Amino acid sequence: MPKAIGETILLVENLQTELHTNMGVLRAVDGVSLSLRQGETLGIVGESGCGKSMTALSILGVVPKPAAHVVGGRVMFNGQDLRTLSEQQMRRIRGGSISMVLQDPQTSLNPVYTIGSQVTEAIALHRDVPRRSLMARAIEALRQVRVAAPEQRVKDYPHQMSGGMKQRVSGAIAISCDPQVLIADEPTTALDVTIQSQYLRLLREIQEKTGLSIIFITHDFGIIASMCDTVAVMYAGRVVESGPVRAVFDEPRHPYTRALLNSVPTMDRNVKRLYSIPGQPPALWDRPAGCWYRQRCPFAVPRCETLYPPAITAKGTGGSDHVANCWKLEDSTWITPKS
Amino acid sequence: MQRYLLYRVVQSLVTLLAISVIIFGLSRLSGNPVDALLPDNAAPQEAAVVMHEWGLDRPLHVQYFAFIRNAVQGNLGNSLKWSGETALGMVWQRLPATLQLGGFAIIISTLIAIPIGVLAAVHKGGLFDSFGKMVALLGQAVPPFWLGIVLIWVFAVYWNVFPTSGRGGFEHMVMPAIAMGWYQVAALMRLTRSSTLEVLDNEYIKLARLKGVPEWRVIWVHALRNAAIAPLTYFGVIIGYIFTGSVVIETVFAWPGTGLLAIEAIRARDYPVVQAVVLTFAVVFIIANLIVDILYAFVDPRIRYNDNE
Amino acid sequence: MNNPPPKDAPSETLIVPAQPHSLRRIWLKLRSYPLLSVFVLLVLLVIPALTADWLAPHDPTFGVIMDRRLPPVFFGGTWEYPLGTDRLGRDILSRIMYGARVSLSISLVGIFVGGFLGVSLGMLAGYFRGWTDIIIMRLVEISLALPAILLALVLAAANGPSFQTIIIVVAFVLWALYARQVRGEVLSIRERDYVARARVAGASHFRIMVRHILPNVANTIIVLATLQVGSVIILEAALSFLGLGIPRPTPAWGMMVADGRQLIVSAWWISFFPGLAITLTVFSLNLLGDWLRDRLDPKLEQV
Repeated sequence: MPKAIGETILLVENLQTELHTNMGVLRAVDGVSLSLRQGETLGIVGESGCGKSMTALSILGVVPKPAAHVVGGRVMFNGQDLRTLSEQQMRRIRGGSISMVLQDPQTSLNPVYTIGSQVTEAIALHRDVPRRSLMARAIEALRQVRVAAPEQRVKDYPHQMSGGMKQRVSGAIAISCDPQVLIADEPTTALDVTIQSQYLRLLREIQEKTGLSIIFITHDFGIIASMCDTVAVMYAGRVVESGPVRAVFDEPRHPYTRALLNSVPTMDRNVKRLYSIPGQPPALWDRPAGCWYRQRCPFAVPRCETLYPPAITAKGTGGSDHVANCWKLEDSTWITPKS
Repeated sequence: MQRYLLYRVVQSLVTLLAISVIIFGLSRLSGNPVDALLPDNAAPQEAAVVMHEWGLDRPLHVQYFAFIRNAVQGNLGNSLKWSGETALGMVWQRLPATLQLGGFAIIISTLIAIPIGVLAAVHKGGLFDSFGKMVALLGQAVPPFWLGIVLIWVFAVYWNVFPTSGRGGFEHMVMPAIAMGWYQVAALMRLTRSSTLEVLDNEYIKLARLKGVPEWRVIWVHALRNAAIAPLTYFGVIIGYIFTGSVVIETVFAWPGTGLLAIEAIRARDYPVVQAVVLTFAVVFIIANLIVDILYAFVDPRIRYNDNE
Repeated sequence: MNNPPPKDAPSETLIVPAQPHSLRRIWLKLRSYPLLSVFVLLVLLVIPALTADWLAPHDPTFGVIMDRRLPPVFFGGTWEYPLGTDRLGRDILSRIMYGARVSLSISLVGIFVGGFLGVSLGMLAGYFRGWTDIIIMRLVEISLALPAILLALVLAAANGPSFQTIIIVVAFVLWALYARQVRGEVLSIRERDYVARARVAGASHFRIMVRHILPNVANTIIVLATLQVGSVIILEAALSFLGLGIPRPTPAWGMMVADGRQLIVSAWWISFFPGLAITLTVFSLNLLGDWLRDRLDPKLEQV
């Protein structure tokens, strides 16, 4: 069923975040640009350490100080650049207009406070609700995420719940104030497979009902394929390919994307060895000149050693275009060969 | 949780019993307490008579059981120095003073140490943190009795801000409380700081910020409640130190509590009173630890509800 | 500088800001150079203790009544008595030097006795487990529940104060900490391969404990001991302040503070300098202990 997708509500332009470490000052997020339309689900995919979570935290300005700083770029949301807002204004956005759900349900909730108090806290912060209705609103939010018997559950403590239930509670907290955007940072990675699909279905339902826009961070291509409308592939702090999911997955242009897709074992292929990409992503302090992927890329040409490739449009055979940062794309007919 | 409490109570009783054995044993170590009572040139018959009166010629374990039986009934003997008073009676007279000073010291130590510890962690590496560390190190190096004397000298004699000694209201309590609590402030502060640092690293703190919770609330509502758990368990130790510290501090400031009583009793070789003080201290200490354990269960819901799940 | 982290470290590895402010830098310097602390220690504790007989300018127990209550050298006194004299005309500096001997000997002996007892019992508890473990751990709890000064009170009241009394008190207080720490470590070490191999090879329990387990807990023991010398010195000082310590006329720092108490108004130096000596000594010892702990065994508790 086609989704109702509206205008662009979130536009990230050239976001840069620096990290102060013993090795010096590093760029964890190095010029990331994303766009999200209303009602759309954008997937961000990449290996561990590529900067996906840091990008999300940078959008909301919750990078771990004092070591990390967002140093450049714009985050346009509803016509405002979030980077220019004061801390107080940002706090209204966080949880109110843009919410986030974290990866590990076991540690996301404060162990010494009840579920109810943690949900009502979010509501009280962002919505003008009279005190006696707060708990009712919280119970309603829990009901929305399919927590059974929410009236009892609000009195419980986190350790009395299962992982899947806790993740739903995090979800309840996130949607309790009707945000426009939900950023989900690998929310199902720590859950059982069966619980995973329930959770994803829940997110889809909420999206259909409320027109919520979702940014879904994951390393799981299956989830991207089933949940997302657009996808951005990140590598070492930059986006290397982005566009509609079907276009990117059917005709990947960046060798990294193709390599990632190849390494996913599928049931219909008979492989003797699981494919894994040889080598490692470059260390943050040790990036090579030119394209950062070239040391692992089987298609590298001399040009790749001198200049980092800009975003080049790749024409799709199915009619939809997408964008990738690879020199090979200068030949517009080139499609990354299957392995 | 009931099971946990029951276990702790039983454990406390066992400890108390063991302490009583130790105290009893030590008193008989040196031979006869009677030697202190009699003049040196007493004839052996006189000694034998007194020994019999005191029941000291019976076998050791019989003496011990008599001791326990009496103790449970509240009879710990009569004071040798203060004629007409029972040993326990003397202790009861003086206990409120010690509790007053000790309680005051504990309260202000906690009120000072925990916020400083939290702030040191929040501004880790900052001026506050370094200052706090210095204070902590000094706190653990300065001997409390010397600190008390220096305080008297500076504030009571030189500047005449506080009275030099004696029991009384607030201005009488300030200096002794500082001298008593100084060491605890240092230790508690370090503990709070490291506990807060650990807590701040947790994901739920990040989530609180992502919810839009203002920073002060993140620290003082979300983090503090978790960070306070570890220092709370240290409270039992603090109470113990405060009581032992009372012996020294009350001596310095002439505060008429049980600590001073113990010293006076020792000087007069009034053994029953010393014994009574020590036993009372031990009981108070054990009860305090028990209360701390109960409080601990209240603060950390994971302990409270573990039996039911 | 440091070893670089592995190449696939996630971008979330975080570290402190690059420019700590100046006070912290001084502090870091202080922390990383135990030389300063060791130097102070030597001056205050070890050298006087060992060489007091030769270096002390005056006899510590025999005072010249004529020279009583003289102030220290920069406060109206002379270089003959650099830190002043007490009410009996005894030189404070000499008494402090001899007092160092008391502090040092008591802490060393006390720690040795308590440590030996604690390490042995801790090892037995951790190694044999079962009833041995249960009983010993009960004893540890009880002994931790009985505060030191109370025990000293009882002993002093019963026996009168003496060197042995203090050693017993110190050992009693310390052994439990060693026992608990060592037991914990032994519990994990005994599962290691080399222990199993030794057992299979037929080594006796004693041999295993001494040759295989003991070296591995040595670090912990050393750090613990260094951290404790300071507390022992304060404990001994408190006891001698109360008159429960080394009997007169041997000078002890705590006793000196007590002596000067009545005269605090007119002759502040009598109490001040001995207390200062205690403070500086313990401070250096704690710094040294912290440094050692950071180097040898960071797992140990802070307090």
